[in-house]
Amino acid sequence: MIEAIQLSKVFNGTTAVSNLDVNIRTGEIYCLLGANGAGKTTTINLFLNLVQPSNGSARISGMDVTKYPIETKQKLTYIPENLSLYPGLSGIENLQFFCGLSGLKLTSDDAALFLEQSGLQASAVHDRVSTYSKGMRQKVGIALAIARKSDVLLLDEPTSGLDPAASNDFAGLLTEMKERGAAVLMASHDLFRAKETATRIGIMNKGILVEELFAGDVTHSDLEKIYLNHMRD
Amino acid sequence: MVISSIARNEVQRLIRDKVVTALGLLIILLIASSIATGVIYFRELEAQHQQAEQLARAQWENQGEKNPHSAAHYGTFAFQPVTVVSVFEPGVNRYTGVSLFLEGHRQNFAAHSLAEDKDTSRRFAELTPAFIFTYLFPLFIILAGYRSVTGERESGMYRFLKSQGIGRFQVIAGKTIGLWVVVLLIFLPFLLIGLALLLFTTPSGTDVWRFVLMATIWLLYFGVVANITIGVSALVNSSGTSMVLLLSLWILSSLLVPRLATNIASTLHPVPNTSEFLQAVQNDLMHGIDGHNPFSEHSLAFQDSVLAAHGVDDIADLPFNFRGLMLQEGEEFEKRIFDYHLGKIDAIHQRQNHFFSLSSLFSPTIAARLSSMSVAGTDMVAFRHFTASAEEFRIALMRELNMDLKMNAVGERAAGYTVDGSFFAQTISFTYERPEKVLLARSQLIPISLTMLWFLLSAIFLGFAARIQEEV
Repeated sequence: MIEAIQLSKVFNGTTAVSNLDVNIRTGEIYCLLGANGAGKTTTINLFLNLVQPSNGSARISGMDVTKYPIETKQKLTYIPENLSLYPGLSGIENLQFFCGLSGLKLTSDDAALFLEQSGLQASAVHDRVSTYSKGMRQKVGIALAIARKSDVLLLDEPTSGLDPAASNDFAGLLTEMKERGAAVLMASHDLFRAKETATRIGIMNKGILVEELFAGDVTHSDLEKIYLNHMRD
Repeated sequence: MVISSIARNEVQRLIRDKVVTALGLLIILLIASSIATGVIYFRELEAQHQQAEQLARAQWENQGEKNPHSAAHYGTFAFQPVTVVSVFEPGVNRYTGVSLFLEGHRQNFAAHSLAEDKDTSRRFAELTPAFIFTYLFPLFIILAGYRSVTGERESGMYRFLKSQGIGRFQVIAGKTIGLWVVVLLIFLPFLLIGLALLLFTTPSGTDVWRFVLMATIWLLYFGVVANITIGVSALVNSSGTSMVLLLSLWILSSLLVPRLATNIASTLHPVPNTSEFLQAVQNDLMHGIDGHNPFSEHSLAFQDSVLAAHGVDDIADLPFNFRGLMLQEGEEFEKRIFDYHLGKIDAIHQRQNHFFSLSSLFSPTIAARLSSMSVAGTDMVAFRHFTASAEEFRIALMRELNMDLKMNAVGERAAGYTVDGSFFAQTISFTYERPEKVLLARSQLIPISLTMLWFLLSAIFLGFAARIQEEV
């Protein structure tokens, strides 16, 4: 569903991602861990076709994102660390707008329903997004994925800056998305959330995927030790 | 579909932006108040004109018993009618005036009183709809649109949109259309008020065309500003840079280029001052017949030729009043001299105006304003048409007076010849017929073509900004 084959990106002689091979299946949450500059965001950007690969291929649902940029983007929803929404519009209006961009017309009631499914309080859906907390904005992103029936979610530090409760809510939503059959690629610094939420975890360092493991096979403390060992390299 | 969604969103965003809304309302308020002021001015001027025209004619007709040539010196006035279109675009009318004093022996040149020396930038400085559209409306467009694309980039929205499969072209096209729609929403009251005024007054078909063309020109101009605004916002990295750049372009187009063009035009094609002009006219008048001086060399030569042609030795033996003939001959000579010198000044002004028109290549503001004045019939070309008609009338009236003197002041009636008051009521009167055509001269096509060219260039610029490949 989400596949990188020998995927590399070099910026002005500096390797950001090197020969990445990863395959994330339907119903799987794959968490990319790594320090700043490890290449997590570049990997996400490569799948979004926001940057062109220097080598290799990034595929969504079997389609190379550089050859099928529109088709692949129609299958995915991207939620960055700070989801950009129009502050002057309500949650409903934002959702209607973004769904409208992919040709999906939502009534206000439909939009409200999706927002509520994503955990947003019914009383907030008509409020302007400028009044939303970060956690509430991230929920609009999940609502977008639900509304668009996205097969793929690409998340870049989605829980960064969220309070524990909001972070926990968000993890719950991701699990729901996984159960709906979505393939999720999430870049994160958060070892605890990765262990709790992910199916598999990949650790990146200096653009290289240095280790891959199943979340269920390790404890929190094992994961921390493995991670720190790689970061010292 | 995507473009229209982005456009709709942009309209929604702009309407909910308090600063944009406040500025938009301010612009609408200014337009409304300038139209109201213009209508009051128009009505006052129209009433004053009718009153003054009637008064001038009444004074002319009630001069009482008088020698016809004395009446020529008494003189009368010609008035250029004001039109409802001038409420929106008064053009040069407020500077040139719309009346002309007509008298014997000389062309009064209110239109040429070196008034055209007044620099064009000053002509721009009235709070009229045209002034608001020239200067303030572009500022509103800039303030509404300078962060259309940079703002999206800065907030991360642009990246998010791209992640949705939205291309740069779609974002920029949607933003541009959104801005155009907001511009139209603010321009709409002007259109409605204008059409209402045209309906509630009695405009000629030409006036309706003039208004429609004027509105089209302003819309083209706003399109130019909107295209450049979005294009710049798409090409630069920050909203601050975008605003500084756009305001610099506004200053360049609205203030600097018009000022420079005016100064260069005056330097390249200097107009003689009033005293030089009058001295030159006076010098040339010395070389021809002076209707009031029968003893000048030219008058005596003319007298000899007339006497010889009629085979008599004395003007008293002529079958008509020689003085009337000589006054008419002098009038025609003086007209040739005035035509020659005013023609020279007119040619200089035309060269200045031509240069100024061409400077529209560097300023869409000049292009739009000159075009607007041209189609509104309030530019110098239209004013020249009025003064030429008034001059034609003056010459016809002088001929009528002089011919009466020539034909009737004969024999015993010659000495102390006068006509009674009823004579003046029968003389021709002046009613200025506005031309049916909207445009009167090819030169008026220059700014109009350049306005269209600017629109085309701005669209190409926008297209270029939308097609650049980038990595986000």
